Amino acid sequence: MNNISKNILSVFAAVAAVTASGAEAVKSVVPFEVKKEPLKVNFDADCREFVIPELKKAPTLKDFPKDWANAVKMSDFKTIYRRAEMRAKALQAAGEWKKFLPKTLTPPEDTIVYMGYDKDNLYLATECCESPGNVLTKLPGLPRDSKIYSVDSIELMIFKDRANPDFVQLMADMLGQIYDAKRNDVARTTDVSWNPDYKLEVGKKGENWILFWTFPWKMLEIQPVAGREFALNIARNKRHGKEFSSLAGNKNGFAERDRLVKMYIGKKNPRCSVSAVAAPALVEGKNFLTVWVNNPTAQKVDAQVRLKCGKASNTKPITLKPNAKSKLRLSISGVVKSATMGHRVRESGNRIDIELLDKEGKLINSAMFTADAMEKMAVSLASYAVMGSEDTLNCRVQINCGITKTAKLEISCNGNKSILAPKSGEYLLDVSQIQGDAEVVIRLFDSKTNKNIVVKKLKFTREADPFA
Amino acid sequence: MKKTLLMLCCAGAVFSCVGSDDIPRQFKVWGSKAPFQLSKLNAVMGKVGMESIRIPKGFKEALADTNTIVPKLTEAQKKQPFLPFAYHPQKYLFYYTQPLAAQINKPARAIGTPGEYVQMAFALRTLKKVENVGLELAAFTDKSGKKVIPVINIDLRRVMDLPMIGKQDRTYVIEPRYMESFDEFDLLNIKKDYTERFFVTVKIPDNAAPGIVRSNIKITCGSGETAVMPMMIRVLPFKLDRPDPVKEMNFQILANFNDIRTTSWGRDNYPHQMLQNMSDLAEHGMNSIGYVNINPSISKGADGNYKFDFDKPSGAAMHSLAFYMENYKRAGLNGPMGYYSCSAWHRYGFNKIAKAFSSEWVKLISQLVAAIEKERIKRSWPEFIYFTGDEPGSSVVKQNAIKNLANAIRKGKSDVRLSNFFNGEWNGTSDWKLCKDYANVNCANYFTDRIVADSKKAGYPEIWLYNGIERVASNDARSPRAFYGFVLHRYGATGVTQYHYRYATGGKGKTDFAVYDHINGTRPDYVLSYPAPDGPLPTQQWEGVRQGIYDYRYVYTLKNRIKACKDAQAKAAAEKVLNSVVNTIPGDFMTEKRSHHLQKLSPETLDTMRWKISQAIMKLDKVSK
Repeated sequence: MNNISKNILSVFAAVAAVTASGAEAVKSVVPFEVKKEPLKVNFDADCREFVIPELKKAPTLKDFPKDWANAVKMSDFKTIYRRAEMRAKALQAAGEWKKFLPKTLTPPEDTIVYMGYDKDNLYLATECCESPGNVLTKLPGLPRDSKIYSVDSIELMIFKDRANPDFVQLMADMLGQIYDAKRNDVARTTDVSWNPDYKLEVGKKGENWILFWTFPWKMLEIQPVAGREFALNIARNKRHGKEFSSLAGNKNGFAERDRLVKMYIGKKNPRCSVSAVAAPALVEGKNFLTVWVNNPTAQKVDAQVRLKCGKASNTKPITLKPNAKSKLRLSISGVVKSATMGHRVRESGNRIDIELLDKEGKLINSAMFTADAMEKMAVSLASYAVMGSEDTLNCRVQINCGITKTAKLEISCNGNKSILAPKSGEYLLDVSQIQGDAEVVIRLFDSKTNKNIVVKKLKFTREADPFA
Repeated sequence: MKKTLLMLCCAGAVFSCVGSDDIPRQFKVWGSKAPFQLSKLNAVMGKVGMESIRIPKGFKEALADTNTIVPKLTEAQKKQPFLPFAYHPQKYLFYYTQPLAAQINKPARAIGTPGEYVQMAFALRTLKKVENVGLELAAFTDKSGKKVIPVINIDLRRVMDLPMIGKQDRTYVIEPRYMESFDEFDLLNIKKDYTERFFVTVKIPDNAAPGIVRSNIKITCGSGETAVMPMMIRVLPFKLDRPDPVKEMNFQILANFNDIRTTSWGRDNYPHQMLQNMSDLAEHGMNSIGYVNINPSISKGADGNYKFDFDKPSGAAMHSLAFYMENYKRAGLNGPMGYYSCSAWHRYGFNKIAKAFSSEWVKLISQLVAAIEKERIKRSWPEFIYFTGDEPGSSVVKQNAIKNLANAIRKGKSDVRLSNFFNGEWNGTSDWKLCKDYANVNCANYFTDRIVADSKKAGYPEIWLYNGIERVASNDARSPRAFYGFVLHRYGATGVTQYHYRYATGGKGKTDFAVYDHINGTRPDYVLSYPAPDGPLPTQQWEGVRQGIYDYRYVYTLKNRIKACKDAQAKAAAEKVLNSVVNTIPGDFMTEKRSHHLQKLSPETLDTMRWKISQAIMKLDKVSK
């Protein structure tokens, strides 16, 4: 119950408006303002980025990590968010679980990644830190393309372009067993028949185990041109205890394109990108989003921005001035659905893609995010069972969607009905005549057409009065 | 309070026929007032009570989510110096909470069975500054005016606030926490527009006749104005059954009354109050304690065997195991004790006597267990359940220790019960499954219907729930009540334990009375009771635990009545009620969804669930008559 906002308003409004036949269901209403969590996604801040240096001499496993002194070193893996959140909730007993997040987001053992390149190959080494006594899950004798992720392993997801849903997935375990496949993030296809030639060596450094890959650029279909950008994620599967962590720091899965690590070959050479998106709050149905597009180049670019959510999309042209940020307002209509209620941690929410296209419709860059939307109307009762001595019951109605002039709110409770102006508020229901099980129906509707906008039903019980 | 009651009795002013011996033990055990400064080393000098706690620099007060709308008053109410109003004893009222118009001048009400402690709460919302406010209790009488509950059976407390860390960064909330006694030696000056809160506990006498009884609390001001707070109790016509703590339900809580080192979480327990604190547990319905630091003193004899002195304290403990167990017994704790000390038998001093997990260490542990079990029988101590670890999860080191400890303990005595504080499936490791061979009781903090079934399949004869209390956004004590009550029936648990009765942040350099100083360290959810020089001070959360245990016993009583009922139709109807109430708790309550489910279990809902059970019991009793 948000009584603070009630206090701000300091209103105790009498039941207004139209009265239906029969007795009133609502005795009074205290309106409140709905606090909406604004949505803001900063793609630039959320993605890590690194420059891969060119190596004069090809590194070796034998001289690890000496040979890798000039390579880029990346660490600070983060536990997959939904698991970290679950653990934080396990650690707390106070409802203050967010305080435990920094701890649970840090995996028990870090992973260090080294990368360098020359004109022929991309060199990548992963050092998986371990402590004495750790149990490592191994499964020898696996054929190529077996489910390596079910043992202690490293996964690589390499996108030649973050705007392109095609990527390669490569996995290896400490026994040198491998999995490699071509995948598509949109079509959700996997082609394990892709078995290219590349080199993998396995080594040890104390308790730590090391994987050293040499990937020919050809195989990755990436030109090793200075300034070329590609995207990747590196994930660690620690099976015992189900410790899953990644370089990108993911929410639900390792191939989340909006969180991929930006990798620049040799030097940074940024291109036009979607840098941020914001909205007052996402509500079921129609939403307006503001999209920021960044043009770091010295040229003017004529482009289009396309918003996609499910099957619906909306495209608008935009001119990007040299070295400037531009913003654009776009709507997504009728496709955003409510996803979160309570603690359904595994809910995926609504995935929204933002594509930056050139004049001809060719993809320049893209971004995407997953957001939860509020219900159009959220309702709850102060208590779902009351004693017979209680004559009233508080019903909280929070209207999150936009309302038209002709919209009305109808609240009925076992035959009694009130039709009111649609406002978020604490509605005091008259339950004095109810015995046993009852139902409250809250209907937001268009009074002109009598068409429902949203209907919610709540059940409660009123027991016999112990003092009667 | 108890002093007052004694004086009142001696003077014969209120209830002349009840002697001091009849003061309910709970009221004898409770302390009266907190130390006048709640912090010492870090205190704000010259200030007392809550104001002595130093608020960290830059912190601002935030308001809690509570009703702050000024009610529409009648002309007569506007002239009153204050508005008395009743509220639910499990709900938190803040100094700025306003009453609803419908609450003003309505009586505080409670339902209970003979022998129960029932609770009521009321507040005074001032409309102007009032001075010298005193409260006077009166006995509960039935409609004929006959005294049914004497004043001596009533305890009145003032709800005291403490600063807590707020939800937003660098904010704090003044929250109701501990409850101090309020008697005829107490007078209050209350500022204008302030909500002063009181908590009433009433012990219904064992022989109280069923029916509705009434009483008034007289409120007087220095200016001569008076008011009354009416109270009503419906005494139900049956008594609650008690479950067998060994076979049916062991109500347990973790507590450390035997180690006051600054590094210990038991540091803020007054050393002389062990029996008082244990009695407080027993009066709340607890059967046992999960405990550390109670090993016997160990020495090695010339023959190479170990010798154990049960009357000598060991390590950092203040008192010996024998002294501790004598207190345990005298307090009325009759359930199996959670012997948590053994989870450290491979560390600290033990590791110095014999290297952990060596053959010499196995000899030490097995001889120790054999000696403890022998002594336990000799001195008629309850069963010890050996808790060999804490949340092993995926840690191989912890799992190895559990395995070695279990083997060594069973070598000393093969038929003792072993358990653990399992992490359940919080992180997918199913540690309870991995350690099945080394535990008899699956005591875990994560359960679903599927896990309960798997646990049985795996061979665990019983499950215990632990750490199910949490502070929800609802600003009330529904969580402790639900966890110690209906939730246990939902899972068919035979034990429950929680971390814990009283906790103070350990570590050198921390403040004294750290237990009160939540804003600078100690987590409030670990503190259900606060220390005072003359005994423990309750909290609404701790009283919520008491009500939870009663909820459990109401359901348990109905189950027994159903078993004994010979009328098939009445039995079926009662079973329907039982199932509908117990199934209000979802099967995934003990998971990450708990706080979501708690939203639907308001204190009023829990009351109604209990009332449904009560009605079913009364109906069955009518049929059997």
